[in-house]
Amino acid sequence: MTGAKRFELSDRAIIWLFLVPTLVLLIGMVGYPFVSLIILSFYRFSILRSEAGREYIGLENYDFLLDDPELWERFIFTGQFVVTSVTCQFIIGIFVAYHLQKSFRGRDIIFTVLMMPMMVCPIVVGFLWRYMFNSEWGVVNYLVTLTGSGKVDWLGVTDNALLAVVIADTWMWTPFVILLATAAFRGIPKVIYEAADIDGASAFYRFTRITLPLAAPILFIALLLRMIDSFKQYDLFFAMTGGGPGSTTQTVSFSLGKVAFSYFYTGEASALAVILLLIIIGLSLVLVRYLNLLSAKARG
Amino acid sequence: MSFLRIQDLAKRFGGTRALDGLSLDLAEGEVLALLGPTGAGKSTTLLCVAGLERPDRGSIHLDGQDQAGLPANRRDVAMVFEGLNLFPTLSVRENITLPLRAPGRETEAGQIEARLKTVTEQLRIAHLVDRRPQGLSGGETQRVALARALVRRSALYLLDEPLSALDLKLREDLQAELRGLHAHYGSTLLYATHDFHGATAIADRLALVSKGRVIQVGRLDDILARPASKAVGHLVGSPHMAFLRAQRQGEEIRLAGHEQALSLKGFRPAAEVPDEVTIGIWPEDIRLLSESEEGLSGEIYAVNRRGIDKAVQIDGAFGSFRKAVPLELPARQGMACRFAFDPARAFLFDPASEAVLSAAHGEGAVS
Amino acid sequence: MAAISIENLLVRFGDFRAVNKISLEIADGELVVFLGPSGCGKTTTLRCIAGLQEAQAGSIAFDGQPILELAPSARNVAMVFQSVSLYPHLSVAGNIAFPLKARGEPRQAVRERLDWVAGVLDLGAIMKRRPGGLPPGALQRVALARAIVRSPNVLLLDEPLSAVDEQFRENMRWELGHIQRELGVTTIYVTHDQREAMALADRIVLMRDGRIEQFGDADDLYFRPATAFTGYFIGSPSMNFFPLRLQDDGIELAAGGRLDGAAGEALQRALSGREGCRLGLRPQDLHLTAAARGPQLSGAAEILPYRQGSDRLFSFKLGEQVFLGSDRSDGAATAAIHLDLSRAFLFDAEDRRLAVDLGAREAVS
Repeated sequence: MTGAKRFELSDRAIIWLFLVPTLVLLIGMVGYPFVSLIILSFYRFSILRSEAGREYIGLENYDFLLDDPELWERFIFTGQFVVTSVTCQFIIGIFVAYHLQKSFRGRDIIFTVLMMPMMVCPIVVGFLWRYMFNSEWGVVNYLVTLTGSGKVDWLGVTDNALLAVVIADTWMWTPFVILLATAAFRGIPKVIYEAADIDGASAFYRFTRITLPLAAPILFIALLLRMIDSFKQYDLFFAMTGGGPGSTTQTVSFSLGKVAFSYFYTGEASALAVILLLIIIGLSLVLVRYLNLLSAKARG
Repeated sequence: MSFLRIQDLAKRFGGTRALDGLSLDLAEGEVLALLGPTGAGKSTTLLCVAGLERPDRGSIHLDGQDQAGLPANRRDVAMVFEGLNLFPTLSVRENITLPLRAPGRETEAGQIEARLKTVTEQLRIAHLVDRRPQGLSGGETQRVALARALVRRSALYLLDEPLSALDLKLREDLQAELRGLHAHYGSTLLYATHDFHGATAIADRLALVSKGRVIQVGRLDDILARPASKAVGHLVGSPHMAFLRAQRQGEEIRLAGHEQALSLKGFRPAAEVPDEVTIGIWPEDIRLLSESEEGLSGEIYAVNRRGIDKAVQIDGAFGSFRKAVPLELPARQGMACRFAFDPARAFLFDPASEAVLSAAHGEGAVS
Repeated sequence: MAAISIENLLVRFGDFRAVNKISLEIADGELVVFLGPSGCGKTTTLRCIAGLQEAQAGSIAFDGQPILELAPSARNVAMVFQSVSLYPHLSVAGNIAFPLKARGEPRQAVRERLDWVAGVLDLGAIMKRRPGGLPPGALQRVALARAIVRSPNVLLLDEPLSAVDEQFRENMRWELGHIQRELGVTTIYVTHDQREAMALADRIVLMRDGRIEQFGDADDLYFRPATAFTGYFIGSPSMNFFPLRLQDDGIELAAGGRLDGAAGEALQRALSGREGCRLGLRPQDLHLTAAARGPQLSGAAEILPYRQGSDRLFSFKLGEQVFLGSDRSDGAATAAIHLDLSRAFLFDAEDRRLAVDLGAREAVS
């Protein structure tokens, strides 16, 4: 021990010092808006007419929303979108990631290029695809006419519009699945594959009996993340269809945006936001539970 | 006068009991080996002494001072980890001198250089000080980790399986080196290992650890003369103690599968002997007989060469045991063989409680 | 089951020759150990036989059929790896059955083989468990079961016991030897542990720097080491090496040690006209005795007792170097260091053993 006395912080003080900035930010940016959101959902209130004050109406906002058949249609549409889009992303993503496992010349470059769509701003992706799907001069219809069939009205017909947005979403987010699937595949020890080779497993047997089951934990996390994200999808619909034709391609988040910022029914929008939040919290809980389960398993 | 006193240490990790009332005393300047299988609680003991784990119960006194509540950096203890835990981003020099630059232990620069020089020369790694740990061989990494522990003049050194990751030959060389270093520094050393040979090569005394407790402490010869329990016989010897199933009928003992009776008295019973009993005997005290001689019988399960001699495993209705035999003895897998032993050299154990039922060698029998 | 012949096998990693043109023949049913320090090429050679490592030149044949062109799965070899290679998502039974199912064996046959191997390796109690919760020892038993379940041509074991603790390693060593001899499958076992090699091997291939240092049975390597390296690597504790210098009135051993003139006559004759020779003597053949007899070493300092297992040894210093011997003095106050020159080896400046008789055998082995 040296004799020099110096200013020393206790461990506890250091812990607080590190925590305080984060706590302040969290409370200011998440805690306060969250609490006011819940409070507002019990009022009739619009921020355009804040001078009119707010009127406490209990659960009336929720009642109204859950009785609205239109909203249920939005949920069904959102569900269709989530299922088709995420399924496409996974089939393509796992296929590509599997083939990227082998080492070949230029693999790293291909991988980098494949990651790019994910880096583009979603609203830009939306406009990009909107122009590509334009029924008069879009590149997609140009390709369609090359096959000899007539032009397709991509964004003006509900089913076509859904397909178009699914294609755009898949283009943008398959890289994410490739990324996680690649990580999952690389996490499988080489020696396991060597053992399987020596044990006489064919490539298909190896993939279905070794690779997929061992990658499953990470793939499942990717699946949940993609589902939560797709469920909240807003930008692509906003840019590509604007919710139309009519309101048939509005997702729940899109409706929320309209209620909150087109009609400025702030109270009702808050209630809808709370409902959405509950659904997403539900999905996240599954994710967190599962992660805990995994780490418990890893610890033995 | 005990320098390190560990009393009644207990520690649970979730449902598993890592330490279950472990007590131990070390004299100053002594080398003591904690010998036990993986999971016996050796590492946990060392971590508790170092202050890196907090025991649920029990006390640790170092040089008369209670260590409870002292954080690791305030304890006068150096440790070498099984994983070695070198910092990959620091050079060998920085790794070794880190303990001398830690807050509360700052040493003046000249002093640091001098110590670095001494310790690296001693461990023959002076030429490596500017390299980084990744490029080093197993033996070199090992020496760097040792140097980091030795560069501090600590009251106590804790070594947790520091050699287990090395090739056998390197391990033997370093064992001899450690022994020499100890003779040079005269430090107190607690050495955890599962290797019987390594433990005996390094330590003055052995503490046998099983299931979170010390089951016996002593010099090897004392342990051989008076094993405290059956578990001790499993941990000590190469090959370890032979255990043979037997039955007691009145004043007679019969080996399982055999008609010949041995006198119970011959086994120096010092406690009530149950009907089912285990005979424990050091393999060196078993004689193999030629085919013409009368004796106990078994079959050779396998033969292992050991260099200057070889070992055989003999199976029978009594169980199985292993024994070193001369190279020239004809022995092949599957061969029948005969053997005998002197009950006076053997010990009786209770198969249920594992407790020893015989008096130690050289002590009178209680009738 | 198959005999293996390897010819001029060469494996390069960049400029580094991991396996440098080795050739050897392994008989059908033999257990051969590849022994050597880390980086000597033993594992690389094994991986070539398994088909996990490409060779730049040379050939490997099973029963005369070249196999280097075949995929690992077509060679019918089985392997136990150093690290845990069990399929973590399958039960123990699922792991062991994997090679059978992967080859499309009928269900009934799979069940019969499983029952058989569970009996051989005593795995009945853990067949339904996942590898995750099992101790390292049990994992390697399962890996061994997976390897032998389908009667391979060749069984390859890559340091299978290096991750398990001493007690278990000892048990497993016995069991492995027993099972291999029961099955009679040609087996190659890679290890750096000379005790394991001695214990198990019919023959040992001692490797160093990608080459074969010596190939022979345990007796050859222990009693007739071709080089100083073999002498050092085989046997425990390691052989002592004393640099020798012929002087007018006797022989100097290392720095400051001396061997009496009369005793080392044969040695003196062998040394004349040679430079840089070393005497190799195992600690078992260098005794600290109360009664002086035969050739004696003088000049030793710092004589200290040293235990290794039940063996009583002692260490001593000549100059700066430390040597080991066996302590037979029974604690006598005056003791002399006696050399059993009949068991000593003389190595020349290139570390090759010289075929000279250094003394009459005292005890014939």
